[in-house]
Amino acid sequence: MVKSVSDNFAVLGSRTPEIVDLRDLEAPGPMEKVLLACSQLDEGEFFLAHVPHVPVLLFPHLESRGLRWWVHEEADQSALLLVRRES
Amino acid sequence: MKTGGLSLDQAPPLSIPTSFFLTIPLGILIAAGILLANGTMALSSPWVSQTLALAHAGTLGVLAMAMVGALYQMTPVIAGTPVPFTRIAHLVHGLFLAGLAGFIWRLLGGPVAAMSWAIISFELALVAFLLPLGWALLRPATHNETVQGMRLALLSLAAIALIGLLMARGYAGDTFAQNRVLWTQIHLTLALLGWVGGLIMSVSWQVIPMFYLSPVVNRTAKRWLLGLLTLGLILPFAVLFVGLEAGKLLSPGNIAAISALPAALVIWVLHPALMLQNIARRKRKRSDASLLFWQAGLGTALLLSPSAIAALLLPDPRWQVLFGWLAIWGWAALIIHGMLSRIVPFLVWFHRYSARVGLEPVPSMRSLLSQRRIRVGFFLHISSVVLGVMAILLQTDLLAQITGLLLVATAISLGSMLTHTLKR
Repeated sequence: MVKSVSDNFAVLGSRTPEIVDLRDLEAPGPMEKVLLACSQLDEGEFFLAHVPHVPVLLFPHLESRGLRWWVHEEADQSALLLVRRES
Repeated sequence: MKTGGLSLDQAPPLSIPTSFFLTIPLGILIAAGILLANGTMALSSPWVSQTLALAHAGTLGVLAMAMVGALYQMTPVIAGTPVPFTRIAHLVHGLFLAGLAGFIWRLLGGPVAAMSWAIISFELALVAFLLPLGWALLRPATHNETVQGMRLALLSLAAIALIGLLMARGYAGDTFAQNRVLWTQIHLTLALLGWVGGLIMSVSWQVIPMFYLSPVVNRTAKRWLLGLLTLGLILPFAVLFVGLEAGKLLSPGNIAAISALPAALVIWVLHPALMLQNIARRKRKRSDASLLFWQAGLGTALLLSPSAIAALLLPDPRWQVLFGWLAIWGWAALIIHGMLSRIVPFLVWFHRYSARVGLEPVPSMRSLLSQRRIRVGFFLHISSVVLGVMAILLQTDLLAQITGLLLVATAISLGSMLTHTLKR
């Protein structure tokens, strides 16, 4: 499965944010949870989630809110999503 | 690791898929009208014009309308490549409706010119649809099995359209193509297994895990299913080269049907069995009325192989009509009806509310469409399938007309479900 979070997301450096597992939510639950969580991020803060699949429809929303994102697709087609509020 | 390189603003405007979806009840009403006006005449033999009209009201007016609208919606999202000239979709829709009207009118006794009009409308609609969609699917940013399945479906659509339009010339004052039975068989095989089956299968790999939290089908299984399906779609064409000479025991049409066996095995046995098993193993067994459509549709798919064998081997034409009824209005339309009751609320929620999540309170997707409304639609749809089966087997006008009335009720229920959700 996941090698390690920092292997997948070099931008994290030594930081290891908690992974919020959203794989047990049916659509659009994961999108809703990510947007809710990201609305509370402070500048430079990260949010890391394990989502059921690469959330293509979420990306425009993240960008329109000034959030930067990275995604890593796992072998089982789920994905790790990292979001940061730009400073 | 992917970063911000995927193409954004992937989803087309809500009006594009929904304009197609909103005319599906019209296709059902046309089918209902044919049954109410013609009774069992429309259910007696696949070679009767009224039956052809009924079948095409279902395939063009219901299935294709939903599938074309869905392809505009799904292609950019799943393949990661925007469909160029998306606004042409409204023209495609208009041409499609005009073609459908001319086609059905001619089959029900209208003038020859109606079919000529239908042929031109369909030709223009297909070119305007296939070129942009094909362009997007041939150069996807994401390579996965669903994209491959969508490509196969689109290729099948191009082939069936070509064959269908050539055969339609027989109703436009021209002569019917030689080997009409063989071409009809190939048209039928590619339509049901390639176009409809290929799209249902590949899309179900995405939407069933996404909406119902079922296990994901593994890539090896998907590749085998796609490979077998492709084989079963190519083999009937081999009949054109070798079968016509070798066809001493069986007709070329029957040989073509038998050579599609690998495709039929995939679409009507392996895929439904696999998906029914996955649905039973889903993580959260939350009650969801739209799942009833999937279960009933996939269950009906399992009846299609024996039904096809009966249609192939038994001389009574009712078996062929029964097969068509179960395939179009049972298997495919049930699944499409179920998908609409899940995808339309999702699209409305996505387009109208998702941008506001976290900024202000928004309704949940589930609150946009009541489960009761979906259940009523399911009850009406499944009742019309069962009554239709009885009408075909018993050849009773009264049953055929009750089936017609149930189709009217299903159309009203679906239309009201769509408009209610889209107004939210």
